[in-house]
Amino acid sequence: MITIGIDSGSLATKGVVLGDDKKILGSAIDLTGGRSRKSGERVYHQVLDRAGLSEQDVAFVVTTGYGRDNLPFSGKNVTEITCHAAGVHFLFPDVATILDIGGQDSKVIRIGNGGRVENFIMNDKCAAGTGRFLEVIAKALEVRLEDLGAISQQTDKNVEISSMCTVFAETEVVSLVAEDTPVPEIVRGVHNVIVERGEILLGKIGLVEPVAMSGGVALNIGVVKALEKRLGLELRIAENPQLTGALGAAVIARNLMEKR
Amino acid sequence: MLSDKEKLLKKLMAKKGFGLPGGTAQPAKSKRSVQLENFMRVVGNTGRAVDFSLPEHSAASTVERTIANAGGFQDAYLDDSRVMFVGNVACSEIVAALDFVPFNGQVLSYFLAAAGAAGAFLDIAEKNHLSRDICPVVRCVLGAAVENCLPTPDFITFAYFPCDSGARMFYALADAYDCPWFLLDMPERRGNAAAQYLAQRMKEMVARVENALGIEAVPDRIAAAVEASKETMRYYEKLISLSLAHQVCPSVHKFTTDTTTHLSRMGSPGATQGVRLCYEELLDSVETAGQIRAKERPRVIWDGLMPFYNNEIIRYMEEGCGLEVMSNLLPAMTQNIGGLLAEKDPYMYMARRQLHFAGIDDTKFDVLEPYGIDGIIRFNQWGCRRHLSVNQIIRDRLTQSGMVMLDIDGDFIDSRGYSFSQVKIRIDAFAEMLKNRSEV
Ligand code: SF4
Repeated sequence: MITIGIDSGSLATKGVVLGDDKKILGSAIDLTGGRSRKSGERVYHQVLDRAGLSEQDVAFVVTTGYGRDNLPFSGKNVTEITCHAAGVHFLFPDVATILDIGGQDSKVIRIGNGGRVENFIMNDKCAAGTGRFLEVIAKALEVRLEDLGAISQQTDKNVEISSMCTVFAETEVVSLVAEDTPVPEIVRGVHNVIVERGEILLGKIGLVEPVAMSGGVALNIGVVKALEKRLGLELRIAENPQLTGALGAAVIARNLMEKR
Repeated sequence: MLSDKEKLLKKLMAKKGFGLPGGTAQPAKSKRSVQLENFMRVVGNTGRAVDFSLPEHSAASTVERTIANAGGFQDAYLDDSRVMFVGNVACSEIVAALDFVPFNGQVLSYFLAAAGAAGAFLDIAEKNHLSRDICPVVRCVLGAAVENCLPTPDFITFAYFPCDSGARMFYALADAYDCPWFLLDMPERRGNAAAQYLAQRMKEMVARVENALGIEAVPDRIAAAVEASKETMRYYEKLISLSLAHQVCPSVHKFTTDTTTHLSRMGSPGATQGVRLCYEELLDSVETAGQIRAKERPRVIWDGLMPFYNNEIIRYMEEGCGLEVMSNLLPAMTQNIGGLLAEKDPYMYMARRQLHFAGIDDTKFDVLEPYGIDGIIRFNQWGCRRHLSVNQIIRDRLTQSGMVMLDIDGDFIDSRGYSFSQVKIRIDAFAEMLKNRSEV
């Protein structure tokens, strides 16, 4: 049985094809841009191509993410919280807590039996502590978003970023650059803001080990290391952490078909 | 010492012809009729100051009718009314016994938001340097005061409960209107000692009013107000038993606005009438349904106020997500009403009644089981320290009993602080979680 999960996120759209033996047959990631429906359709066809399949081969599609209601091929839409829990449980069945930091929000999910969501909490309205925050800062520092992790590893010093607001933090970073503060130190300071926010969120709902991290920010080695140090534990991270939601959607699609 | 904000408010009010007999527009008119006209003008009407509750005005706009019906607001604009500005903690039996018309700016701002008219006052407040991060109730009421739209008060009573921003607002108003006031020190806890303390403060309040206005609180009037208040509580008692027995509750939106209005008028027959109506409506719906409903869907408590300008979130939770939503005000009332009604001493009764509706933060836990509640949705006003400070305490207590909570941040008066897409994902995920939990 072939199922597909599509995660139409605020920054990127992700897709996963799950095959008969629960193997991932194909995946794709593309920028969402201004039209989530278009990028959703694009990613849907990309994953089918990559898996060498056609639409007729697909038993069921579950969609998730901010644009999940808007995709014509969707059999059911499920929130990304439920999907992340299912995706992480599929990869790491013993994980009890997930910290997911995505493009525009961050969340902590506690999972119970069978990957069921036991409890969750999301960040407040502010974008500080999310992928968008890193994106804004990378732009201000004139470095690539994907290089931030490596840059932060070039030093063990860091400056303190005091602003809690993304816009103010950007101004603060610009002033630090003007004062010739080394970029790696600034990047570490910025990562610490994310780490602090993540730690607070985990504290609100209660951290139970093992803990996994998902979402695009889990690709940033600087954030991951700083978090592990602060929490005193090792985070479980998937090879493609930004695909966890889409994978969870495909898993849920499969479970639904099996129940029928 | 006046704060800068208070001085500013006073200056602005003076500019608008505030307090001048007859106002600036029509010298022949009485002060309060001009204020009502100002009010209607700001909310976009022609300035007609008529009794919109009369049948010949049935074509009046929603705003006009809302103002007329919102807890008797229009009575406060009559020249011979004795007006007391009150907060949600109002000592309303004393207000009634002393023949005051209560004017609750907090409730007024809810009604204005519901009628889509709060924006005009929020704009005025903002143009007068009350920034958007100040509580919208405060902005709405002070915006109305700056435009001379509130009826001149004869007395002001307020408390630091639920918060100090409200109290600051009343201080500013007392100063701007040069009006006598009383700060009621309201304990945050229930219990006998708290009631005794509060009863003593209530006696001081009465003495202060008598002294300031040269009137006398006749014991018979107090006794009559207490009796009227007990009658209202009897209807609340009936409402709760009906609600518990049939596992139904009134519509959250309406029940919240109704209850906050009634609470400002306890001690007057109007409050009894209102609660009786609530009870009869529920009775009707129970009789129509015919039998006790089995719980078919996850049931949640809506905790806190809600965006009054639209009912989108609660409607979506009920119709889009298949949840049953009940008001957090019901739990507040399930507390031992019988014991309260048995209280013989009038001041102890008033104090205990007042405390009955405070401390709601604790009482919600008592109804989780009888109502088969699966979770709590807490709506927090942006930046409100009171709301945010108790959030985690409630979450922790709920978690201990295996219950879940979703908190939503938003604005209950200012629609600019609201975006449905921001909350939709949280509600969807919460509903999914509750359904999955109940499946196991
Ligand atoms: S929202 Fe907060 S600040 Fe405003 S009146 Fe209520 S408790 Fe006070």
